Amino acid sequence: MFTDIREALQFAFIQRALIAGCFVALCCAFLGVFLVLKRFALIGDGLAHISFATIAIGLLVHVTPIFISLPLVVLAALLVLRLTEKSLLYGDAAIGLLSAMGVAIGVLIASVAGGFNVDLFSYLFGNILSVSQTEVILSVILSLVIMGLVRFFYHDLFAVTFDQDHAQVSGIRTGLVNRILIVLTALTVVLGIKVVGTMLVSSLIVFPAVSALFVATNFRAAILLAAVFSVVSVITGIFVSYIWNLPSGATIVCANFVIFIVVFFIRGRK
Amino acid sequence: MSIIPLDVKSLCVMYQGAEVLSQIDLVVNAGDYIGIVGPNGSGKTTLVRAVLGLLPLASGQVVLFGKEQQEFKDWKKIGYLPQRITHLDQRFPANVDEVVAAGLIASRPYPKEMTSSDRDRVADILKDLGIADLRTRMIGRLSGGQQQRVLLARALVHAPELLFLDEPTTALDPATREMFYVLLQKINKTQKTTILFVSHDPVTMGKYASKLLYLDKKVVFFGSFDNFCHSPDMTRYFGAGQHLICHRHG
Repeated sequence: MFTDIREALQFAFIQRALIAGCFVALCCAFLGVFLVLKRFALIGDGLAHISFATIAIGLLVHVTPIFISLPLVVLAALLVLRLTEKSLLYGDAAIGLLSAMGVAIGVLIASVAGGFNVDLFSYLFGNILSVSQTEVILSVILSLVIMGLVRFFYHDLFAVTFDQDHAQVSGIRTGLVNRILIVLTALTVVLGIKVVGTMLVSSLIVFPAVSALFVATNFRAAILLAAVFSVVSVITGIFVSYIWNLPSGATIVCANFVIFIVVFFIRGRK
Repeated sequence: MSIIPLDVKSLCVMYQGAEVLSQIDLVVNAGDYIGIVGPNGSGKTTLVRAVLGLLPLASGQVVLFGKEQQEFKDWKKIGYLPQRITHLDQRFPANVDEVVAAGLIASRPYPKEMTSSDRDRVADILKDLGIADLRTRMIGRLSGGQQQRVLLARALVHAPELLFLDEPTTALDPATREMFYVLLQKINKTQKTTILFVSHDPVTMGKYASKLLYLDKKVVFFGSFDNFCHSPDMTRYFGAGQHLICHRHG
C-alpha cells in the first residue's frame, strides 16, 4: 500500500487534489463547529442543493460553474438568513424550499439545454482527482481568506454561538456576525463541491464537527479536532479512492463516517 | 455630578399585539440597587430585555449613560446575567475559562486578543466567586448553581458600572443563594456598581436592595423601601403583603 501511495504522490493530479482537498477540509471543519452548535447544519445541505442550479447555469452559458456559483450561492445564503431572521418562514422550511427549487431549476436547465457535454455526475458527487490548476489556486486563496476571517472574528463567533443575547448586550453586532458566518459557509460549500459534490458537501461540514464535539472538552479543542478529522478523512479518501479505483467524494464521506464511529465508541467507553 | 446610568421614559412594549409594558418611567441613579419584583407575567424580564435592546420598543425612550439606546456603544459599562441561556446544552464544548473570557473581550475593539493580564483577570474573578476549581470544566456539565455562578463571573469580569440580573438565584440552593446576595451587596457598596435585580421574591429584595420597583405591566411602585413601607397607597394595594416585605427589611 505504501508503494501505491508513493506512486500516487508523483502524479500532479493527486498533488493538486491533496492541496485543494486539505484547504477546503480545513474551512469546512472551522465553520462546521459553529454551524452545528448554532443548529445551522442543514444550511450547508440547502446551499449545496442551490449550487446545483448555479452549476447548471454555468454550464449553460459556458462559464466555469464555480464563478457563477460563488456569487449566486452567497446571495441565496443571505436570503435564507433574511427569511429566518424576519420569521417570515421557519428556518428549516426556508432551507427545504430553496433546496428543492435549486435542484428543480438545475434539472430544468439541464433538460432545456438538452444535456451538457460535461459530466454533471461529477458535480453531484464530486471528483477531486480532476481538480484543475486554476481551481487549486482559487481554493487555496479562498480557503486562506475564510480561515483568516474565522480567526479574526473567532471571539465574536464564539460569543454569538454560545449565547446570542449576551453577545448582543456586549456590543457585538450579532446580525453582522451571523451574515459573515453564512457567507463564509456559502463560499465553503461552493469550494467543497469539487471535493465531494453537491449531494455530499454538507457531510464535509457536519461529520468532522460532530465527531469533534463528541470528545472535545473546550472550544478550541473542538475546532482543532474537527480540522484534524477533516484533513485525515480527505487524505485517506483520496488515497483509498486512487488505490481501489473508487469514487473519491463517496470515499471521503465514508472515511469521515469511520472516524465518527471510532470517536463514538471511544466516547461511549469513557 | 455623575451621568445617570439608566433613564426610561414612557416605555411601552407590545408582544403579539398586546401591550405587556405600559408607560414605564424610571430613573436609575449611579449606585442604586433596585429590586424589580412583581407577579408572573408582570413584565419584569420584558423590561430588562427591552432596556438592553433585545426586544423592540413600541414607544418611549431608553437612555443609557446619557445616550439613546440605539446610539449607545459603550457596552462594556453593562453587565447582564440572563434568566437562562436558550441554547445551552450539555455537549456545548466550552469550558468555564472560555465562557468568562468571552465576557471580558466581547466589547473590545478589533483585533480582539486575549492577553496574559486578561487571563489573570479571569482567574481572579473565578477565585472571587469561589469557582476557581471549575475553570477547565465544561459549562454544560456543571450543576445549575455552578452554571449560574459562571455566568455571574462573565457578567462581572469586565467590571461593569450597570449590572442587570434576571432571576439569577432560581437554580441555587439556599446557602449559595445567600452567598450570591451578600456578594452582590458587596459589589454594590464597594465598587458602586448600579444593580437592577429581577426577582420573584420581594421579601429577600427588601433585605438587600435599596429601592423597589414593583411592576404589574405598569409601575405600581418605584422608590425607596422606606417610602414603600410608609405609603398608604401600597397598604391599600398589598394589604398584609406590604408588612411582610417591610418586616424583613433591615
